[in-house]
Amino acid sequence: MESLKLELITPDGRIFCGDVKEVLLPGEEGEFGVLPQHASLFTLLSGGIIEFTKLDGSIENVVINGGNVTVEDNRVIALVNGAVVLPEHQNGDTAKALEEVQKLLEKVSNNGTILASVQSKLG
Amino acid sequence: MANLKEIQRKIKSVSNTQKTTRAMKLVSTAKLRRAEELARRSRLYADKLNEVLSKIARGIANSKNGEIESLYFDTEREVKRVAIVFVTADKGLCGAFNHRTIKEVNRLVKEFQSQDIEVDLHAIGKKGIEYFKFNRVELANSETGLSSAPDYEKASKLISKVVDDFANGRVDKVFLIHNGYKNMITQELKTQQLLPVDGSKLGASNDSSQFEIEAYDEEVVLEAVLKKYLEYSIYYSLIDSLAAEHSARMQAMDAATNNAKEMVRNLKLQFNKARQEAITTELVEIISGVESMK
Repeated sequence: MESLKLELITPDGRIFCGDVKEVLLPGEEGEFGVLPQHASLFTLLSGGIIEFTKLDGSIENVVINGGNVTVEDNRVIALVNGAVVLPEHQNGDTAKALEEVQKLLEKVSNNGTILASVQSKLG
Repeated sequence: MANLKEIQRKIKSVSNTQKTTRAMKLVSTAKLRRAEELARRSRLYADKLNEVLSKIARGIANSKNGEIESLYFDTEREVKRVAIVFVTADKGLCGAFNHRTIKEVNRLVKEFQSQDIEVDLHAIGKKGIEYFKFNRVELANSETGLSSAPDYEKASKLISKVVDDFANGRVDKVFLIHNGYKNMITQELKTQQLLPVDGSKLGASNDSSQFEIEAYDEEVVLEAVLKKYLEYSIYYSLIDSLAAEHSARMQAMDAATNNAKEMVRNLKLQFNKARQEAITTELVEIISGVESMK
């Protein structure tokens, strides 16, 4: 099974580094997915949700407020300005997570739509 | 006898000072640990950002036969006026920390003036501002409170003014000077040229991999990343400088504590000598009194 190496880096340090099957990123010009063997690419990210599937099939969501991403040699390096990791469906404190997300997205223009999708993810 | 009291008072005052300096050292040590951690974590982001910028700059240069048509990369522009942004601490009592930065700024200013280049000074930190005010050197911009509590937004506002100056052609080069953290006992003065960006100096990787830049306009992407890079450079220099400041203060206070200890020891010696002398004089007086009564 081929895999991608994903690194999520914020100014406060690395928040995720590991192998994943697939990554969905909120590009400045629309959402796009990255699978193994993707061509080298660089683009800016807008505010939104980075969704990635880990090797064991579990899905994780990270809300970001913009940044940029480099895809090269099966490595995805996302430099983001700020990020909040969304908790898993069952055991997370949804209200608190939402509040954090709201704070993060204060300055992102289309935060309404992002918030709505975060809400739906949190179920 | 008055002498004895005098010495005793001195001993007390010095040991009080020692208490203060020791407390300050402990505070700095604790703060340093936090600042160092912050600096360590943000270094990763700074490094990656550097790498990314150099990669796209090179990518664009390759696709356009080695020429980047961006003002920010034009290293051949004639230099008439430079801007120097420098970071000092808001507080003193940290040894030669602030002075080192100021000295370097002065050196650069002299160097440019000898070449008939005008200099705009942008000061961050109270100590640097005070120094140049005292010497009646005009500052283009000054900001306090930022070096003791680095803040990304304020830092980016500050740098955007400088970048605007650069874009308007008011200044032709931008330098950033700060005293950086190297390890617990050494600080390192860092001078970097922010603008124009010298593409050849960015990052060390020299792979020639081709990038597809996913955007309508590559230059827009380049500019966005460049802006981020500049903002982050200044923010990082603030964090780095804060860590260095704490380490410098820790050292200075440690030295002060040791000096005070030494001083107390000497004063105690003096005190004992004086006491002995007083006793001897008294004895001599008594004995000679007894002798004369015989």
